[in-house]
Amino acid sequence: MKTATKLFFALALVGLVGRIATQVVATNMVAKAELIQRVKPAEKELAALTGDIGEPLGPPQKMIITDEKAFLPQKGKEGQRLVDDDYLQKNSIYPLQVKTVNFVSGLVGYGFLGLFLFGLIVAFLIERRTPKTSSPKQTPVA
Amino acid sequence: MARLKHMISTLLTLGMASLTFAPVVQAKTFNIGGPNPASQIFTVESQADFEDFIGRTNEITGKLTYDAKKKIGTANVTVKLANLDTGIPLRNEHMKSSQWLDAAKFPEAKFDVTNTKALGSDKYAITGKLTLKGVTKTITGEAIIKYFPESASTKAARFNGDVLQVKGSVRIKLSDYNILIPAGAKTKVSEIVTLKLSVFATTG
Repeated sequence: MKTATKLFFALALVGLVGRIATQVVATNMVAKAELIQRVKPAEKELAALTGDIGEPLGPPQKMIITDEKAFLPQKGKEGQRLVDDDYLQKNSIYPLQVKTVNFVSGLVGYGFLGLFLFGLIVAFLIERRTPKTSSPKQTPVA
Repeated sequence: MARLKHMISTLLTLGMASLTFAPVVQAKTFNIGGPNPASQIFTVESQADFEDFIGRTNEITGKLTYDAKKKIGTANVTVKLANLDTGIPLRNEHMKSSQWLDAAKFPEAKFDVTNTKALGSDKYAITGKLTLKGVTKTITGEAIIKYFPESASTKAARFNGDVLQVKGSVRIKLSDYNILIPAGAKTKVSEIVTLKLSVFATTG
């Protein structure tokens, strides 16, 4: 096997390992995500008047928030956890969204898949074009 | 004949009298505001492939009228866009730039709701005009309007007079308002965004 073939096989291997690692990391991150509703909490008296816990900001979304202090004790109608948006703002927390994880891991994953296929195909082509060393002629047995 | 004339005259008199003494139900005027300005919220919601984001501000002023009996109302609301906060300072700056909202030249968005139609249980269909980045277009959307006559509860919440809680939302196409998303930002900002307004207004 030529050195170039080995190099492209190594590249393909990097692509394969990268693809698997990306998938593992993304799956691991997504596993920590919860369905979350960001809420601007209402003052106690205002909540008593209107019956609203607060003003929902945006639709419920799968996010990763590790700071437990950000969560409100109540839950939403669909069982989503409510997050105090004022707390997030005050502490400069910008929650990671599952759609961002999926988007980035998808791009990186396709990149690694491309690398894997490229390395594999080039290595195969190099190997195919290389003339095979002919075996020594055997003298016919009388 | 004279008797008929008398009957007509009596009926006309009674009719006029009934008009004069009928309870006059008028729409009340409410000013946006309350004890806590933070409870007035305007948001822009974008849902793109890369991420969703919300820009929010509390700088909202305006007047609403509402007739609780007829269940109709109007609104003239102004939102200042200079301090729209998206959670990322760099994005806030981008949003204000001439490519996006051009907040220096067009510092405000204006909502003029001219027609409401009650849909039942505090829900309304709304029609009006939105002016954004110098462009005015007709909009339709939904709103929830709750009317709270002055009471111990409204006073406990530190409101003066009757209280109106309005939550409205409309969906707009950014390109309709000369906001063109650059190719590099198409996965980060959606072409259709939802504008939401949640305000308290009082007669006091």
